[in-house]
Amino acid sequence: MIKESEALNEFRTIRKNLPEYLKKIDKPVMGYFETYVPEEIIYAAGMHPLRISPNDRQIAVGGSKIESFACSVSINFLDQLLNGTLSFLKGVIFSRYCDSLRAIADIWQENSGDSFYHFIPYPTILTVESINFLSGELKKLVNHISGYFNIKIDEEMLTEAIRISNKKRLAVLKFYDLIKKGKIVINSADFFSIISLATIMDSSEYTQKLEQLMQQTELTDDRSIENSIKVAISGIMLESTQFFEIVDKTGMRMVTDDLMFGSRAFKELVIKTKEGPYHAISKRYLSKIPCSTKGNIDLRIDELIKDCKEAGVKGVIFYLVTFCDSEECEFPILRKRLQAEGIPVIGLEGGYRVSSEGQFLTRLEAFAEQIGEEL
Amino acid sequence: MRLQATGNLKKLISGYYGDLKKSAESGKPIAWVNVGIPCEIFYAMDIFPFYTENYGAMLGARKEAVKYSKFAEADGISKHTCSYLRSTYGSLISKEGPLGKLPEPTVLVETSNSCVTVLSWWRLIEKATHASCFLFDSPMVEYESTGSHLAYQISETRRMIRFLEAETGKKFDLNRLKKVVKISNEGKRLWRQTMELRTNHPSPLTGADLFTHMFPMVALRGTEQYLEHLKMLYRETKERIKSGEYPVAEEKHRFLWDNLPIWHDLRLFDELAKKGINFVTDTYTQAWGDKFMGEVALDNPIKGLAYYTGGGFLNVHIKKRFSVLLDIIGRYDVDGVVFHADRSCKSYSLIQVQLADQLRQKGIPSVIIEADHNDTRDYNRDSIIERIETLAEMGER
Ligand code: SF4
Ligand code: SF4
Repeated sequence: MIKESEALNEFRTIRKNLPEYLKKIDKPVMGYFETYVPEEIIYAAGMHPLRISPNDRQIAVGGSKIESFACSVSINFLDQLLNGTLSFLKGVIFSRYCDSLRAIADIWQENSGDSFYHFIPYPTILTVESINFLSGELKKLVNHISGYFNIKIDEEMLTEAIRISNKKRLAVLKFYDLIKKGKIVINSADFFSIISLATIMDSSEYTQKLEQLMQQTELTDDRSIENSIKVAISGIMLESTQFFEIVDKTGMRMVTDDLMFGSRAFKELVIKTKEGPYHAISKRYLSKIPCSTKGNIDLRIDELIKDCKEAGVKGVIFYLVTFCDSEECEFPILRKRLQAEGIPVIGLEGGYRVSSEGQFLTRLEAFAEQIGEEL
Repeated sequence: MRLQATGNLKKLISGYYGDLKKSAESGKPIAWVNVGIPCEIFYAMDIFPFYTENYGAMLGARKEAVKYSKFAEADGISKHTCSYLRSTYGSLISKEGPLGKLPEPTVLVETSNSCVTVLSWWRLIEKATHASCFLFDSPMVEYESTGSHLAYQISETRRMIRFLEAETGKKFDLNRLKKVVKISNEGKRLWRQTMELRTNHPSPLTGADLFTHMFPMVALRGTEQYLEHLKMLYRETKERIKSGEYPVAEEKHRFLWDNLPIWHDLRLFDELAKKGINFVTDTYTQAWGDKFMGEVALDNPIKGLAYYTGGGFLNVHIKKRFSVLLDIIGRYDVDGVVFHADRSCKSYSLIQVQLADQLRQKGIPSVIIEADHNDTRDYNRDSIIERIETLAEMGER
């Protein structure tokens, strides 16, 4: 278990009081919603890239602006955009990630007034042509930001931004590795908090704190957590601290994940190419372990299975956001593959936040019991 | 009075599915494709294009979609996903359907130009059939495909042709494509002209008429039978105007339908027609009209086909969707808009509240009704009729 370290407490505090943290950011903030939008470009512009996450508020205005069969995450995003929660942003950048977010992009485009709005036409495949196409689109994004905010963004600035993001990715990967190897034993809620903040906090500050945390930790003899049942959590936009707390309560512990803002966001680095930084960034984002919205399921599942084996997990908890079509279709395939590998899996379905503990506790307890017996 | 073309349509549909079976028997390559894929290339290469949406619509119209969806749902697919996906996938894995077991695909070809859901749908088909699959990548555009986007769409078209050649052994011949495209163009012209006839007061066609006659536009572009059919439809539509025999003689309300029709209840349009409500235009059939699938220059058909694949109706942003709405509302003299919030199709439906708001600001009344194009469960016909009638009453006031 991690000794109560300063860095860990800081991460916890930031996660708990996210609005406070966001208020203190001293750079202009640019928002985005999913991890295919290259943060490097926003950094290079001297801005703070902020991945918007679903907040805990009850949906109000957003709910009346979109059909009820949109997923609750996207409705929450729309709500935050329309009710002023995100008015501190200098702008937002979208790409076509899923059919719901694409609608949010359209609706926001019509309601954003003069504020900065950009939609990146995103390829789905990885070919020489798709990389070139995306490079061109990222240049258009840079020109748009430069023109709108009257700032200069050159290749040197991009290269520096790449260095900062890569450094963060390496730190995050090391963190995952230490957890997988049991060198760091941390509960699921803390693990989630730390990982989710990687795309929320300032990258340099985050990397520094994470490195600090990794230095400060050591295994203790807290058997209760060390002997908990190791699981992986898979899904897409599961951003409810309460959910991870429930997992902990059942005696299970997340030791790796397969989430959009989790391991899938960090696995690849931007590698320098002779064609320059735009090409390098494009290649990296098109080579990412794909989310279900990208239609390349085998890569994602192969990676999950590999991680499960490396981390020695006893089971996978799959969290499905209701009305998320891509995940709804991918889950049955994922379940079959995991079962064929002898990895038990439980599928849970819900909204962007956990409405009550009881919603999942009993099923998770039963799952813990089932996989615990198989130890 | 029934259109003779409607009788002919039945022949076309059974001919199409008959050809699918014959292709399977004779070993002719069969490509399972989705609607954004240009069928002209397949006809030119002598590969049979089997349109899965079309098959889905057939299941819907026969009220059999739920029966087959249940197989997909038993396989773990959620009821919330697109009912085309569920019903066709269910038919595939159960090896049952109106045609019996579906003929195996030689190849699968999909495009991302209508929705992200298609990517999931095709993964399921791919897993079930083990056929090799090509994804025609089509990033979204603001209004139309130009510049680097168009160049990318052209390279995707060429890549698709190379894939088809390699997988089926069929050779691509540009001159053959030009011949197919020439026929396709003639048909598109007739389709556009037929749609234009709907601007007449009263309209010579109902909403149900055009939805029904979309089939050749979707699946048969470039074939002789497609051209013959569209000629017949155009001629008969014109004759209706000449003879004054209108399907809704007392056309009190000229409405616009947004989204896919409710395939399992096309009679809804007849029911409303009895009350003087006619759907004189819609956005769905416009997706095969000149703005989204216009004629293609014969000197460079690949470029033209790529242009329309890239700028498909669901691949553009809201500003274009809204401008098209306004344009057809004006041209067809529409006095009310019915937005069908189709639970299955998030790509089409989720911006409708915004579109309705924008119409309201321009003084154009609309109503949003919720249903599903294929799934009959949770269908509340009475409440839909009531809501549309209320819209009509508002206009009368
Ligand atoms: S949960 Fe799924 S449908 Fe909802 S915004 Fe995320 S990816 Fe899109
Ligand atoms: S979600 Fe909509 S666009 Fe996609 S396949 Fe279904 S009906 Fe077609």
